[in-house]
Amino acid sequence: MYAVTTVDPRLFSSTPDLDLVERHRYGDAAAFEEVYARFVSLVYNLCLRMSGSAEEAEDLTQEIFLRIHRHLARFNGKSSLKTWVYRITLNYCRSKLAVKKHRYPTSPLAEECEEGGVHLTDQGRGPEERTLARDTARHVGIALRQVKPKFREAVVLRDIEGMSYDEIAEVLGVRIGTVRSRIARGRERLKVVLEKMNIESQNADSQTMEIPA
Amino acid sequence: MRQEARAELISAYLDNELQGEDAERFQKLLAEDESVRREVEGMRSVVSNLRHLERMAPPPTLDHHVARRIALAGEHRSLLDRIEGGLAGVQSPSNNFLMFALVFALAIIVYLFSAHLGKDSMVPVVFEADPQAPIVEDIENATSVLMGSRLFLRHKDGRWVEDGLSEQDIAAAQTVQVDSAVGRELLEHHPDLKGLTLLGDAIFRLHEGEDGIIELRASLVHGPVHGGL
Repeated sequence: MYAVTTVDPRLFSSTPDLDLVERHRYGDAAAFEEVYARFVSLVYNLCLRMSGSAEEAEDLTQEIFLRIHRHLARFNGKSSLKTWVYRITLNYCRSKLAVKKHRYPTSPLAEECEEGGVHLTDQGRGPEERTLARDTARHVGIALRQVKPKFREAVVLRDIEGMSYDEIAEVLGVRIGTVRSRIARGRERLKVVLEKMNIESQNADSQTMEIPA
Repeated sequence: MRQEARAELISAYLDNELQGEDAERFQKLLAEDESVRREVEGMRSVVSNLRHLERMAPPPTLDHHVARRIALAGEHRSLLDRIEGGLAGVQSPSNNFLMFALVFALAIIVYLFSAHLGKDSMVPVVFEADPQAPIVEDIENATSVLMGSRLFLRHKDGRWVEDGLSEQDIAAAQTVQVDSAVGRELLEHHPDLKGLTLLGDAIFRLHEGEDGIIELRASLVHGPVHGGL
């Protein structure tokens, strides 16, 4: 006869995080390297979406990992390490971007990305598909920057990072109702901006066509 | 229904976050109202665009920059640790030690401030060069040294005396404040200095020997110097 025991899965999921932190506390440099490898793409992309500038995202990412390195030993496992990293990233972006009043950067994200960045999923696509994807990314990137930061971060966490409402509430430290409202307002604003951009783009195309050869 | 409330319902509907009566009411609205259906499609398209945004690879130089920043921060930390460790007699600073260092630093600030307010409360400093010690060029050629905000003049007999002090003031000397530039240079060349703490731009040290002599280590001013009580 076999005995069946139910074990809270959170016990397993939190252990690797705390192991890493424990190793970091005892000066194991490889522990921080693991943390860095696990979260660098997440932090960089979040900074990219929040700042709208590849150059600024790189600077922000450096600063954020410096803070993670400094404070990792104090991580207590009450949330997941991922949630903790998200929180540090957003707090830092918020404070930095608020200081700079960085709402509409002069160098658009998508253009910078086209010049210097690398799309992680570009390799399996044809040229036309790639161009279309980049055009859409450019429009959405520009539109995203015209959404207030507190709505933008909720939308980014939900639709780009794929987090649940519960997870977003934990990261942002707000109630589920607030998350729901912020996501809705962010998406609504995005819809308006994208529609406006489409109209402007169509007008520009028609004007170009009217120019005599 | 207000536009904001409607947008919230549509957004929650697209995320499958509508439950119970809310879900039923919205399904009914969706079935009856063409404009709501259009709005749903509009927002669905926005969500779809966002979800198809690609992750960008961090620039290849990022790893190097982060490693460098952390290494630099580590060096800075270990320098402070050495200073603090020297004061506390331990290698790594504890919270208690940091609290002690803070109280110590505040005490010095209060002392300096009170010293600045009136001569009666001033506890001045005098240094006398140790004749046995090798005196390096810097200090040998100097006729005055600015230590923090205080000016020390070299007398003909070799003593360093704070400018404007009487012999009685000199007799009450208890603290030493070293100019930040000198202090930084010394720390750089003598990382194993003990009993120092860095406060703002200046390095402070407080030590009273058994024989009532306040000692300023030689390396601090490029040559052993003693101050008398």
